[in-house]
Amino acid sequence: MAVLSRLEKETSREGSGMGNSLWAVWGLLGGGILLLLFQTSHLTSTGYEVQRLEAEKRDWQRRNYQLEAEIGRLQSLERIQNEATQRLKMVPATQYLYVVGGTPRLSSGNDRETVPNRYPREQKETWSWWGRFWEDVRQWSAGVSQDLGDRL
Amino acid sequence: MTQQTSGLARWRLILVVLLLGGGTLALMWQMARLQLVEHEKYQKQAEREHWVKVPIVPDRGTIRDANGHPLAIAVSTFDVFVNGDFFQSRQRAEALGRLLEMSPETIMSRKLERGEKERLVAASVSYQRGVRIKEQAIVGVEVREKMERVYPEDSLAASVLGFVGRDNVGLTGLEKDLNLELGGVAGMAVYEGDSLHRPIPIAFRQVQPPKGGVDVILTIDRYVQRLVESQLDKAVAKHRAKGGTIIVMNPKTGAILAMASRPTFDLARLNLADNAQSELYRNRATTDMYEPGSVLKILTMAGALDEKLITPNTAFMDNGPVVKYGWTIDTWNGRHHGRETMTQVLQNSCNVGAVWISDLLGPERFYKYMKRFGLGQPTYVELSGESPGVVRTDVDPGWRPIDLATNSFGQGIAITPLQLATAVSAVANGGLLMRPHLVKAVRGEVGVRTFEPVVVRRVISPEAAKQLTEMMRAAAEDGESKLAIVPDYHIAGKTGTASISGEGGYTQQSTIASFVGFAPYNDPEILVLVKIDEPQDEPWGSLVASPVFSAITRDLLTYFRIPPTAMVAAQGTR
Repeated sequence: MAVLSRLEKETSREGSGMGNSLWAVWGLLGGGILLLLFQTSHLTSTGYEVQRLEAEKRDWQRRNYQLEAEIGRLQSLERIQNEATQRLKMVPATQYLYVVGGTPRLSSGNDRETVPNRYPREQKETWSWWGRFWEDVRQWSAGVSQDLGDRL
Repeated sequence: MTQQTSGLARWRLILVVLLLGGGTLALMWQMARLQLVEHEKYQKQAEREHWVKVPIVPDRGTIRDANGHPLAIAVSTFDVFVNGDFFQSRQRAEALGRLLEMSPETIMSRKLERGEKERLVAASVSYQRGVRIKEQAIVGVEVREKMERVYPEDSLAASVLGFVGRDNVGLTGLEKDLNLELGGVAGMAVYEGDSLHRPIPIAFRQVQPPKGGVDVILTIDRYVQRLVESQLDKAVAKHRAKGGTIIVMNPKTGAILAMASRPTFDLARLNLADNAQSELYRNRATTDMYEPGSVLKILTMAGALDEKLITPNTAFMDNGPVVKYGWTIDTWNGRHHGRETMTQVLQNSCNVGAVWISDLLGPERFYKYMKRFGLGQPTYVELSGESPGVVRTDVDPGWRPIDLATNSFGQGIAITPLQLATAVSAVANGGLLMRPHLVKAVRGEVGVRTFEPVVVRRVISPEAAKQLTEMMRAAAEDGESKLAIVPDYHIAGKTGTASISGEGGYTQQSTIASFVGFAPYNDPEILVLVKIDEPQDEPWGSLVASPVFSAITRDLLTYFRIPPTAMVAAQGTR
């Protein structure tokens, strides 16, 4: 009897080991299937999302072109002229007055940098004799330092 | 009885077996035919139904002016169709009417004709509105998207821009010549589709995206173009002329700032079936040749100055008409000034003087300079269909010695307005001939490509160009063309009044009146060529074309903020 009960115990131990292995296999298979299902559903939803975004991008591009065309129409010279002459009662200039202005300086602080201007530069003011003398000295010294710099 | 019954039953059984067997055989044969004999045919048919190929039309690039303003832009619009189901309910018409801002009665009145499956109720509906109609999904309503070219400045520069066909391919003008750049490359989507050809998301899908067309930025300035077109229209109407051409160029770069010709066409009212309208599509500034008349004396003079055969002060005796090879050549007004300097020859537009200079040059040198100035060959501007002109030289068959004399004052030689503008630009540019161009840059996904000005060749020396410019200043300000004067600016220019050759020789009744000049004369920023065809009231370039030059140049100098160069009082009536 004792032999029989030992055999039963061993058999049941072996059976439970095989059962565990089967469970593990089933678990792995199930997990794999779930993973595959998850991936497939994720791919599907991503596919839809890509399609939606592509359509949205195209839609925005179309709207952009439409808006640009509308802006173009609003800024057209024909419309501007009509607005100016009919609504604002403006008339074309008949007389021209040319004003020779100074060259404005940039606010960057660099005194030598000026805004490009096609008009003639401002004429120098007429200074007193010592003012002109001092300006001449300043220009001479600048020339000397330039020469020295070039030689060095 | 039993035997009879069993015999009948057997026959019935045999019949059933035969029928079933025959049917089975027929089925097997049909299967074999489908699977083996016609396998390829049905496989292809299945693939066609299963695999969907959809071409993706690229967005056409925009044509912009020099400052980036759109002149031609492609937008998506929708055509709205209705079918038989639509007319079964008035509510559908009301719903569609609300979206289209149309009365339901108007929509309902557009019933289908017999045999008609659908009817167009609204064409070129805006994109936003079209999308709203699509979203509403009204039964019996179908919206179809299409690309449409929109011209914000209407028909401005129509003959330069050209237009596209229904397939979005350029047919004329820059739309045709730059179709490869503007049109882009079509893409293709290949996917597995369902029975309605909708893509199956997780199935195979491959998309070759389209390459959108690039934006083309022109050298044309819309303000300059509009000014030029408005002045040309006024001049053509005032002088009851047959047509005309005006070109504005930057002589230093060859950039064409405006190019207009009349008659022209309306981009909003295109009718390709109308042959009379198709005559208007060509760009006359580059395709049509004409005999330029006295403006060509500029080039005759340029050759002689460059060869150092003359100086501005070289004297010549104009004692009356000159007889050459049996032909009498006289001045345009029959007046003769006796001793004339070369500057005065240009001022008085003296044909006899031009003949004298051509004799000094001789045919070989004369035609060498004509060729150097680009006459008799295309300018290679970006427009196709350009005419090379007709310059018959002393080595060409049919040339006669009298041709040299007549060619020297612009008769017997045929050129295009653009060729003349380009040639005179070379004088303004210190003797360097620039290639005229209309495209400033192209802008695509990868960036901007700017086209630099191209120097074709040196035609005359800077000294000769400077001397000629001074002579042209005198011709414009103190000569026959005082109406060309621009107050407060020094200009240089020359008039032309060309006879038109017909079947029986030159007609005296109709002329081509022209003026070509540039300003400011010592540092030219703009060159303007005005050509008015067959004015009915006055034949002379000095009276017809010069005032147009003055009006355009004055406005342009202000527009480009070019400071005054002189305080010259305006002469004549303005």
